[in-house]
Amino acid sequence: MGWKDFFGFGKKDKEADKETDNITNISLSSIKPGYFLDYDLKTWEVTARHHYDWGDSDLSYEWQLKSHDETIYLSRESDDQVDWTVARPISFLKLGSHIRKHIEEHEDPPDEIEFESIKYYLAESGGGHFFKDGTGPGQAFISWDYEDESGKKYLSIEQWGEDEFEASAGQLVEEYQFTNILPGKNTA
Amino acid sequence: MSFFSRIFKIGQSEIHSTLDKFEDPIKLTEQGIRDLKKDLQDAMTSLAEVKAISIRTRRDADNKKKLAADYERKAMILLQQAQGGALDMADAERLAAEALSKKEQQANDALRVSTEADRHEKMANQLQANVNKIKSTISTYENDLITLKARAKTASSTKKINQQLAKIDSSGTIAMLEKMKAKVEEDESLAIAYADIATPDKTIDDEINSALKAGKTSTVSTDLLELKKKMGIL
Repeated sequence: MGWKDFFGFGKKDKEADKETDNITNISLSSIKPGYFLDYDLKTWEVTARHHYDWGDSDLSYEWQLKSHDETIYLSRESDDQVDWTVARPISFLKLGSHIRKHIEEHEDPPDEIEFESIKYYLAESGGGHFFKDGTGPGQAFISWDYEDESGKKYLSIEQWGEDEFEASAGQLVEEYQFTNILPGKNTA
Repeated sequence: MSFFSRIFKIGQSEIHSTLDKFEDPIKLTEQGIRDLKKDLQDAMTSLAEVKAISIRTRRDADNKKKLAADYERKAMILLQQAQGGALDMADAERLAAEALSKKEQQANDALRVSTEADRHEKMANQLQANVNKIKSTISTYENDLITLKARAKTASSTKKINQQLAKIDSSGTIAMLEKMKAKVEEDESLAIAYADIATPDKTIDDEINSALKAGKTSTVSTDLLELKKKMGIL
């Protein structure tokens, strides 16, 4: 330990050095708002990082990515393995008015939903708390997750409060599909 | 070469030689890589700025295009309303003309901003290629350094072992082993000496048994005699 460490002067330098050391090897899990990355032939800016608490210390993370013309959500779930999904918000109405009716009558949506000529099957449902930007007391919600026969395409319905519904359609992605990860000016 | 130049050259070479002894090539290479990474960080920051501008400009161009289309739609609605009698035709035409003028302005702006976005995207691609090149270079250097570190360690260990095997290193392991061997031999000799001192005198019974043993001819000797007789040597 040098005198700089003793008085805490060297700490900032060391942290900066660590950041510099990792600059050639930035992982997808470490992206933060302000970062940029390439996916699906477009450049995206990371504009938010939220997380979901499903109880029993089960957390999943979600990043909001914006290109010039659309917004997508990149999610990371780790169970036995790490799964990455990309979802695009869709209008809940696009799923058909019978879905809302079904929920009102049975407190659950149907086990099968057809959307854009693809049949989705209910895979799991549950409740949790959503932490916008990773902070706050957390907002309670219920979600129903559907997947197609291949298990690669997803559909998700979320209920917020009494009668507010949101839907998104997504797909399983691989980490290598995200390239040129770049920290922004004020993120290093 | 003048006398003073020669003196200077000698001094210079001595200084270089001394400095060489202090330099650790591995540490110097590590520092070189760290410096490269700092340069890379700066390049990445610039690239991030260009990418941010590029996204913003493209979004701006898209919005202007949408706005132009919206003014055209409004102009059409105005004329339709006038046609249906809901609006005075003269007013409708005047407003539609205004809307079309704004549409033209937005379309021109969209074109200009779109060209800017193209330029920013091109620049971002060029910078990205440079950043990737630096990353690749750093990665190659890092891998080379790992191999060199391993080679340096192995070479150092091999040098030590070979020195010891060649007994060049008198204060090393071989010398210590020799010293220990001498000490063990000394202890063993002492143990034997103590054992001899501790052994009691032979008893009468021991002497009798020993004499009897000496009187016995061994089977091997008997066999030898028989063989000699058979061969006619005896």
